[in-house]
Amino acid sequence: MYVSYQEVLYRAETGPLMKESDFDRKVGQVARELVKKYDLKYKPDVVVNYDDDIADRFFEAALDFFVEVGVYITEYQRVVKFTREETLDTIASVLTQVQYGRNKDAKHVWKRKIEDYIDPFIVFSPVGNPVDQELFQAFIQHYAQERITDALFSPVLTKFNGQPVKSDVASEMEASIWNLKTLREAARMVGRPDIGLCNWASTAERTDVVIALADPAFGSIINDGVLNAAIAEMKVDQERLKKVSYLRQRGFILEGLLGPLMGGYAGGPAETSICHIAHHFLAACVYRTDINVGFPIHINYCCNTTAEMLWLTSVINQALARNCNILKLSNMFNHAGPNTECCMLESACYGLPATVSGADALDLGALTMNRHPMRWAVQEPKLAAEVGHIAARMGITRKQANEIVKALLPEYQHLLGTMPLGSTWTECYDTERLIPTDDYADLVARMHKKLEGFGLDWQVLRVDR
Amino acid sequence: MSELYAQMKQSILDLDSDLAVELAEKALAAGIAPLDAIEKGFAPGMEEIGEMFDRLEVFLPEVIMAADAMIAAVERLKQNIEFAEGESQGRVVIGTIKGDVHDIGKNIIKTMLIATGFEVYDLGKDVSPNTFVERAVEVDADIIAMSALCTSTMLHMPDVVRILNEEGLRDRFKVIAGGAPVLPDWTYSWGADGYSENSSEAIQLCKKLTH
Repeated sequence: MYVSYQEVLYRAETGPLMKESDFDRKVGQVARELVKKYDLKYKPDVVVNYDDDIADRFFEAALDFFVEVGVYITEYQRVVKFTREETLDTIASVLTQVQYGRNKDAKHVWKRKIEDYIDPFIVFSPVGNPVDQELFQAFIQHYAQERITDALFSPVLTKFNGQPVKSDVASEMEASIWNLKTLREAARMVGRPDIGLCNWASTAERTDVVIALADPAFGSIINDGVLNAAIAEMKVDQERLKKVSYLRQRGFILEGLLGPLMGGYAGGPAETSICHIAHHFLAACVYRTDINVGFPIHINYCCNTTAEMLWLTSVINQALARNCNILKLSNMFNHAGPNTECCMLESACYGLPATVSGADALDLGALTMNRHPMRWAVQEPKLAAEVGHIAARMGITRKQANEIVKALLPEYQHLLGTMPLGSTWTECYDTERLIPTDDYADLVARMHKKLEGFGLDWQVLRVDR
Repeated sequence: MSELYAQMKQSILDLDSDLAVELAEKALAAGIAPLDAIEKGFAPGMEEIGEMFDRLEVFLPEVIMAADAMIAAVERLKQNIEFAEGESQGRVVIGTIKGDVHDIGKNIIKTMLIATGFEVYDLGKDVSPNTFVERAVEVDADIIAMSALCTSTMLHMPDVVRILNEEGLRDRFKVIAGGAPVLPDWTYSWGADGYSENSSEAIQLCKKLTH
């Protein structure tokens, strides 16, 4: 039986009481039991899973997990529970395609299957690397002008008119409005005035700011998306529910933002995979999302390009692609920085497994662990996007992807923890002409050649299908 | 004696609270000083768990269970002796900074600090800079520890040092920070006393700052 949003709010007030620390423990305990029950232990010899039965067992385990653990409402210290039938019926009600942007800039996220020939939807997203205010518009233009991106995320602004941009104070509102206006202006300047925005401002944390930004006077359109995060493993709060209450009645695209930590409350790679699939159920059932951004990351390295994280990415996407219609944006988190071979390799290694495993869209992505100011440039995300399109168009299988990724991983995996931060954007881009420097362009060319050696054919990108 | 210490350490590595308490009782019966039981027996187990967590040979659920075992053993030992003030490693006021509701990092550090013998005052999530200062004064803390997951929340952290300076309290407390977007250079730029990248570093940092 389908569970309505009103019913979710009722259960948030009346569900069983539980201490938060007990809930955190339960997440790990249940995930561990289910890994045993469904025999889902991570085995390092496979990076890209190609066993459908494993994918299906993960989905079943995640359903059990969701039903057993539920969703925690932090203010009330209550758990919202769903039965198996309610979960399946509610997630069956989600959209199977979403339109970002409008007019000639309209682009669709389509539900993709494993090893699908449909291109994954592409979004460039420097959401965590702070960018200087004076360079903000040019910076956005440098990635918005890339035709392979179908929609845009905003970079983050940490200083506005000389003041730090802090959450829940006036500067958050001031900066966020300026951010959205600048984002839309940058889109106009690259000839894509109606492109879909996946977030309006990376500083817009509070609900009141989101509501302010929904005013079209600042550049938002109804085919933009708004992110709503699960605040920790299987937890939500009233601030996020307020956003749902507003956004679902306005018609914007509701996006879940789901980032469990591998090594955190759930446990290891297999346990975290179960928890992350269940996060997608949480998003569909509680946040009423149309699409979900998934960014599970390694608790120590803050990235998802390690062998176990790529495996996790493959099983999550496959489990969801085979068993439900929930749309998913698979979010790359790289450890290294721009203009480095490491970062290029990480990008290729992420784009391939995500695409062949049925990710509907690629969110590309965080560089330098999403934290170092100005250390983001589009060529690495673009490489991941191109690899994704090539994989789809060439019909690369999961087995082939596994072999390619296994061959590439040893070239950077030993550097985790000490990877190069690379160049700042101003070092690797001509910030007026918005073209990469010669050494950056050379690196891109070298990487194309290297990947062509693994059978990836860049020629297939010249014909759009 | 060393056999008993080894068993204590193993009880932590085995995440076995019941056994840890049993061994604490055995230690008391054998006349071992509670502090020796902690420092030579249980603490090395917790340290090893911390190192294993850094290498991801164990995950957070195991760290929590090991800390439970450690805390249970220490509580049992405490029943038999009045701990003098100097026997605590120090007092830490901890929380996530204003606007930030992501507390997994803070909870990991809190767990490890308690298990290592610090007195921890957990202010929870979304804590204003003023509250950090007020509570630190109230409990006479040694350290104010803040964490953040979001860039826009992280930027509230410098206000704690600013308030301490304005109130003439800066010398009374050490201020440390961490979290996904927090970078060491930035942390020191506004006058923090320390930064740590992970839980082990945070424990070492707190020990260094209180000794």
